[in-house]
Formats: sequence, C-alpha cells, structure tokens
Amino acid sequence: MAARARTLVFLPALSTRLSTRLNRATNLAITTTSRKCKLLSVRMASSQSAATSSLTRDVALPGFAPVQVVAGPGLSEPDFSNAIDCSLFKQWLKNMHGEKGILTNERISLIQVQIQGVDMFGSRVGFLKFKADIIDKETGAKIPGIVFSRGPAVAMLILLESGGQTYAVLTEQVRVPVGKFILELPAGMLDDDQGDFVGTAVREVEEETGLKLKVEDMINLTSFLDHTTGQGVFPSPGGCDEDLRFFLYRGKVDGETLKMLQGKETGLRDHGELIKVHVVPYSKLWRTTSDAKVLCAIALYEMAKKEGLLS
Amino acid sequence: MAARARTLVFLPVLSTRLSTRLNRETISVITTTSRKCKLLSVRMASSQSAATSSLTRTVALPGFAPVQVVAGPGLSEPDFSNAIDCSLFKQWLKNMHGEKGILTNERISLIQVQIQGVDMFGSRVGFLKFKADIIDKETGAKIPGIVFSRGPAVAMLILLESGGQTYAVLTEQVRVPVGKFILELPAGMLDDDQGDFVGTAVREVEEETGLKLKVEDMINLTSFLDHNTGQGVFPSPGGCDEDLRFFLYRGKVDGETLKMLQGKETGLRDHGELIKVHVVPYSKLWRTTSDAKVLCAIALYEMAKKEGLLS
Repeated sequence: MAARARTLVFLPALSTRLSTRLNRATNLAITTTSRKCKLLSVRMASSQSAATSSLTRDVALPGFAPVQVVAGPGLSEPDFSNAIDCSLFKQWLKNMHGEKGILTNERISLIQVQIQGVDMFGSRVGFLKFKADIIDKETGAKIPGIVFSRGPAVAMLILLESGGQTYAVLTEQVRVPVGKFILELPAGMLDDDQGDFVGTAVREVEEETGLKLKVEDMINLTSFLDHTTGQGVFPSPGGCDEDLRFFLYRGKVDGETLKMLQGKETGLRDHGELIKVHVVPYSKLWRTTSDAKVLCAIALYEMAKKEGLLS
Repeated sequence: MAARARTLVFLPVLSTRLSTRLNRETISVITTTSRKCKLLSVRMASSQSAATSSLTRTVALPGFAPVQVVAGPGLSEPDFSNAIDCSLFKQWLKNMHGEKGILTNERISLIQVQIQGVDMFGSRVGFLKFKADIIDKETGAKIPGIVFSRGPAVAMLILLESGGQTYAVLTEQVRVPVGKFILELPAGMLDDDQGDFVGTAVREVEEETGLKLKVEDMINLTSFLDHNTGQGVFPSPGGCDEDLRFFLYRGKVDGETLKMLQGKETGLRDHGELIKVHVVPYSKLWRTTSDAKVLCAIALYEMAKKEGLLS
C-alpha cells in the first residue's frame, strides 16, 4: 500500500491537515489541499489531547479526491473501523459522488467526515451517526451535514377483502422514539447487502402478522415514481438516509380469518418485537394512524388506481 | 436537596448500580432495585476507566421512579447538561410517561438512558441521540431503544391555480443524508418551545419560497386525524421522534407570478440553505418526488376532499 506516500511527497499535505484539525478557521485551506492531494488509503494514528480523537483514515474513491474520515471523541477503534467498512457508509459515499450526487456540483466541497457513533445490531452495523463538513465554496457557508444512517427499508400495504369490505392489516408495537405504542404498516429494514426488497417484504409480513404472502403477488408501488426520483421514498431526508419501498398486496379472506388476525400477538418476542396485529377498514385508514408510511402508501395506491396502473 | 440521600440509606443501591454497569447480566436486578429506590435528584461523579463515562444524573419524574441518565463515552459535561435540560429530552420523557406512554404498560421498564451525542445549532440543542435501556419484564427481552431526536416540524402543501391548472410549490435543496438535491414540500423544524406550528409554517414558506402567506389561510390537514393519534405524523417512528404537522394553502396566481416562482433561488444562503423553488403540476406531483412529505400531504388532501372536509 502507500509506503511511498508516507515519505516527503506526503508531508506537506499531512501537516496542513493536522493544523487544520486544530484550527477550524482554515477550513478553506484544506479544501484546496485535499483536492490536490493524491493520498491512497492511509491509516494514521497519533496521540493528541483527550478532547479530539486520534483515529483517522482516508477513504479512497475512484475518480474523486479521497475523503478524510475521523473518529468523534470517545469512539472506539473497532466502532470506527466498523463504521468506515459498513455498507451504510459506502452507500452514502456512493450517493454523494453518484450521477445525481451532491458532489457533482462544483460549488460543493466535502472537507471531512466525523463518525460520531455506531449502534451495532449483533455483529453488523445497525445505525450509524456521522457529521460531514461540507461547504458551498461560492459563499463559504456550511451545509447541514449531520446524518443518522439506517439504510433501506420496505413497507407493505396489505388489503384484504372480506364480506364486501376492504381492510388494511396494521401492526401495533412499542416505538421508543415516540414514546408510545403506535399503529403502522408492517415494515422492516433490509438487513443484508442483497438489496432484496420484495423478499424482505414477504419475510417481514410473515414475522409480524403471520400472513404468508407470495413474492409474485406483491406489487411495487414505488416503481410508479419517475425514474429520476430513484424510485424510493425518503421519510426524513433532512436528517436521515432512510429509503423506503412500498409494496401492495390485495387478497380475499373469509370472516373467520379476519377475526383471527385481529388482536393477534406475533413478532419475534425474544428480540423485543412484541407486535399486535390490527385490521382496520380501509375507508377509515387515513385517519386512524400517525404513521407516515400509511399515508404514503395510500397516496401511491389511490393515485396509481386513478391512473389505471393497477388492474 | 438530597443531603440525607447521600448517606447510608443510599449506598446499597449505589453499589448495585455500579456493579450492573460493569456486568450487563445483572440487568434484572437493577429493575427491582431502582423501582424501590427513593432517590431524588442526585449528581454523582466518580472516576472510572476511560471506556465508561463518569457523568451521570438521576432525573426526577413526578409520579414515577426517577430515571438514571448517563453520558456515553467521550461526551463532554456541557453537552451532557444541555442534553438533559433540553426540551427534546423533556418531551420524550413526557411521552414515555404520558397517558398513552409506553411506561404506563406494567410490563415495560426503563432501566437507564445513555446520552450518546448532542448536535448544537448555535446555543440550542438541534439533534440529540440517546439510547434507552428498556425491557419487557415478562420475557426479559430488550426493546429497541435507540433514539435520534429532532422534535416537531411542519410541512406545507401550497397549491396555486393558474390558467385552469393547479400547481404545487416545491423546494429543491441539498440533502446530505441522502447525498442528493431533492424536491420536497417546503418545511421546517419548530425551533423554539412555543409549539407554534402555523406560525412556523408561514415563516418557513416565506424564507424558502418568498411567498407571504397569511396564518388564517392555512388549513391544518393533520387536524383531520383521529384524536387518539395525537394528530401528528411520524415519518420514522422506529428511530426518530420527529412529529410532523401538514398545512394546506390554496390560492390563485397569474401566469407572470408562476413564471417568476419557477427556478427562483431563495433560502438563507448564509446558513447553507441554498434553495430553489419549483412549480409542478399537481396532477404529476405524486410521481415527481421521493419526498414522503409530498405523499403524506397528497393522501391527507385527497381523503379530506373526498369526505367533504374541505370547502
């Protein structure tokens, strides 16, 4: 790897970086330096004051200037490595540099990224929190760069017709962030790098409601969005990278099955996912919950229906 | 304050707590202990290994057992104090203990909260990240308790009629979390504790689009939700406390004004809010963006119209 990069050719860039980390006033200086800098993947560890971390790594990006990534105060070395190596972070870098990415705009410059925290779900990174220092070179203004990263997810609008009425199947579970039990569409995060949205959808529905649906019966409502949108829905793009796909399932059931679904307790109890199933008349659905996923699914469904996109 | 609490009555509980922090297997012990414990607001600081923080505070809650709050590794004392004292954290505790709160369920127990990080926006807390250790006492399972806290916000569906067509007014801005420029409804976070949703809505619309709307012309679409939902929409309740209200504005404009709005660059540039305004025919709106706020607003608007709730 970059043995040569550690000698004289490297040093001017390195010293500018260190001095910049201690003196934020020279932010503009570092922009020019890092763009001209030809560092490859380099790991540096130097002892500094307890208030700033000593962990830092330059992440190489084909076709772009490398990105300097530092660890926030108190972040352990394993957490730092897990963060940089995980798919959430790689995907974010890909988005930033991609065809419609922010960094394709010449005005915008990424100075560095600070990994603030990592939440492990077992052996994989579940949530990541980081802060990107990004400026608009024209005005010198800093662009808000705090990211809560959790990656892609799916949500399912399951409509069951019974006795001439249509019902939606919802889950009710503890949601600590909002401090309440709430009704939501069955949903789940993609927990591997396979990008298998519909597979995850079918699995989550079964885990959360007990209903075994077939992949071929799921209609991807988000695929009706214009291609330029990326065909995913962002619940909270100002702070979070979450990217949702919505699937529709329509089926018929008898009265018995409907009664059995109501109030059923399912979910992976041992993983803290105590989930109750609710069945709500579709006509009342829009008013019944505080879940944005419900409203998004209704909009996609109603608009797709209106435009004759659903048989 | 609790001078007496610092003497012998206090110590058995204290030693259990310290041993639990070092040995997670004894978590069930702490549940029983803290519920019987009658600590008032007590501040302890003891030096421990660098890997765990020495900052901890017990927050008193009227009618409930006090909550122990600890600082995550590397969190500074000012950040820790800001976190505990800020309205985001107080609101979360209120929700947890409120009428529909999670802690009103006897099975559920809050062991402690760890403040992981604080993002200051100037002198106030902008974002907060914390981890609540919560268990289902019946099964012993831990309930997912990671929270990215940003508080309430508003979003506006602005529909302008011109030449027989209806257009929606959108903003386009850099969204670092998703790595792209995206089209969204004009929106903004409530940045004070006044709870003034409609006032924030009018102000954000003016800052982001230049349009000066009147408070009395804004219709609160979220007020059509059933009362038991809390009449707010949660974009991502599995990880975030964000609570959205949607407002509708309908007006008529001439062709000139419409042209002028298109491609206008507004926003508080010096605060990194470089915003372009876009005007999109309402009939195409649902397909045109990846913003969940757009789809939620469409659902609320279309359903409210359908049910005769809008004149």
